[in-house]
Amino acid sequence: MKNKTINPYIILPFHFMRFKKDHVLIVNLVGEYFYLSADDFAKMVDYSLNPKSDLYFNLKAKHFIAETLSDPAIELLTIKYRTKKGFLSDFTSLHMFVITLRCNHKCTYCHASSKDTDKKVFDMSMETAKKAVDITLMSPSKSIKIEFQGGEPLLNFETIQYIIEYAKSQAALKRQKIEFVVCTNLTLVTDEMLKYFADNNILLSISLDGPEHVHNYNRHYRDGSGSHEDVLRYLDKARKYIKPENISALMTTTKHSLNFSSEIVDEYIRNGFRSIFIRTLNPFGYALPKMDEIGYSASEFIDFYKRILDYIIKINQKGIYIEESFTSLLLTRILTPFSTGFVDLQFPAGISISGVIYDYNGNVYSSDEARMLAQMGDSKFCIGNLHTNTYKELFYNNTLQKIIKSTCAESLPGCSDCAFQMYCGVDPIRNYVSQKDIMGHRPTSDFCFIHKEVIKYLFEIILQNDSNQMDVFWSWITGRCLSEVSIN
Amino acid sequence: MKIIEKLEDGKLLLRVEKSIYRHDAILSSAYKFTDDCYIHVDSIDSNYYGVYFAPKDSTVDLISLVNNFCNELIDEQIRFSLDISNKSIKELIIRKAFFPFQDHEE
Repeated sequence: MKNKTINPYIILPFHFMRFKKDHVLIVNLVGEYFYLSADDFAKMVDYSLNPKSDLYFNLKAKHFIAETLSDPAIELLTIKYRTKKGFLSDFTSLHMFVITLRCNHKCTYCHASSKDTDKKVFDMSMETAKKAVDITLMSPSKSIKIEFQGGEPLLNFETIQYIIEYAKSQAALKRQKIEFVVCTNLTLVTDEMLKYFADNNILLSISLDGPEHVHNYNRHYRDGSGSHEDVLRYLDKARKYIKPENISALMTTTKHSLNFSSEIVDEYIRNGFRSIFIRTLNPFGYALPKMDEIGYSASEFIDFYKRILDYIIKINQKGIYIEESFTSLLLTRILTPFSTGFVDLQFPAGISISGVIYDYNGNVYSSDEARMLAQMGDSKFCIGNLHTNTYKELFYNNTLQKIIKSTCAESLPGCSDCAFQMYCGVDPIRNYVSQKDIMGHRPTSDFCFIHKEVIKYLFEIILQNDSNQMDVFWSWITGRCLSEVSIN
Repeated sequence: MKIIEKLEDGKLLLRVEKSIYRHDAILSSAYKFTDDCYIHVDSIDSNYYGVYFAPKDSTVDLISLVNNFCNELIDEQIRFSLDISNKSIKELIIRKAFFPFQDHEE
């Protein structure tokens, strides 16, 4: 590289990776990318670009090079960087309440190690609920989301109602915006509950793993019978009360799901969903001893993801809107300047910064995974208890700060120089469970492999720049149907 | 002197010139191959680092892996060189992003 003092331009911070044959993908500090030949890349880093070439102007326009330190490009990068990292100032927006451990289901992969429906000792009490709300509303975030989890939360509906009423009244006093999500299998919902949810604009997040034979293989009642038929019946009922956009569904992938990618998507469309969230298995709870039976390799998951994404894109091209939610999040990070905090995938990790979970007994965990780990007997990531600790003790304790410090991309080998850093994230608790180390080991990490391969696949599609595919991506980012975003 | 040398027990030694490559570029490159190999980095003499590769199992094609390591090493060295040259700009951007008024007051 040439001497710094005589360099004809300034190279702005970026990461790169060799991408496909003889090409390099470069990504700058705010996630803007450029794709160039290996020869051009060599010229760029050797300060040998022709200042009159298109390449020079393109790199300048995309904020990879600048001519002086007072170049407006640097000011623009600053603003964009602040916008991208905006989620950091939204401390803490997602608060998960484990309303009960009781559940009428005993799913193959249940991470929560649910309890029998008559074991009310595993319900969150009103007293604990009140303390959880008080702590929740101490968060500086102006936009709070409370998510009810279980077990099956509807088994403790009274406490849900109490929390909603109390949280709404207190949030109004503090001028905080608040919304509520109930994560439910839906099979215990009554008309009274649905009316209440509709009246209070409550969002429902349900689980639908696919057509009957896939769903029932994964998700069943405690007597072993499948719940697919009931879920659809109650979904129909729920739709009579609740706006379509207030009901979403997600699916968990088991080995049994891998051969049914298109059938799973078809089931979602048939039941009126406009999104599907493809999730991997979590290696916790009941799932752990069954990994041989229901688990799969990271490569198998990637093959499945590619098949299902290709199919979803084709469906959209036929005029039916359905987005894959995780892809949509990544595309927003790749193609737009907007901030997208996502508790499961951000730097630094979302633990407590973006999300926190209150267990039925008042224990507070830095993430859902931390709670799952505690269920398995390891409370390493329990940050305290609502009944004995203050807000400050829970959220500003040394243990938590140490963990968060160790999850900044810049301090993680394998992440610090990764071209996908701006789109990706880290899960220290998953690292701890799967690799016995919160820092993790990227070369052997399934988490790293899966996210890299997913992002790489999205870039393969983006770099083809086929307007038929890009229009679908833009329709997901903007939440509008294809006919509204297509320029054809 | 060979750049790549076969050693006993199926190990390979790669000699890396100190005047061209930083030791942290070598370590960063080595990290990426720790799934397939046991890697040891040592200073052989005043001119060379020695990178010793031992395959974790018999399926690893060590020659191919070391060749890929050489390419990765070039990329890592570029990353470190760029990091040094644009470190102050990166700090400037981040400082301005999170403390937007500080620079105006100075």
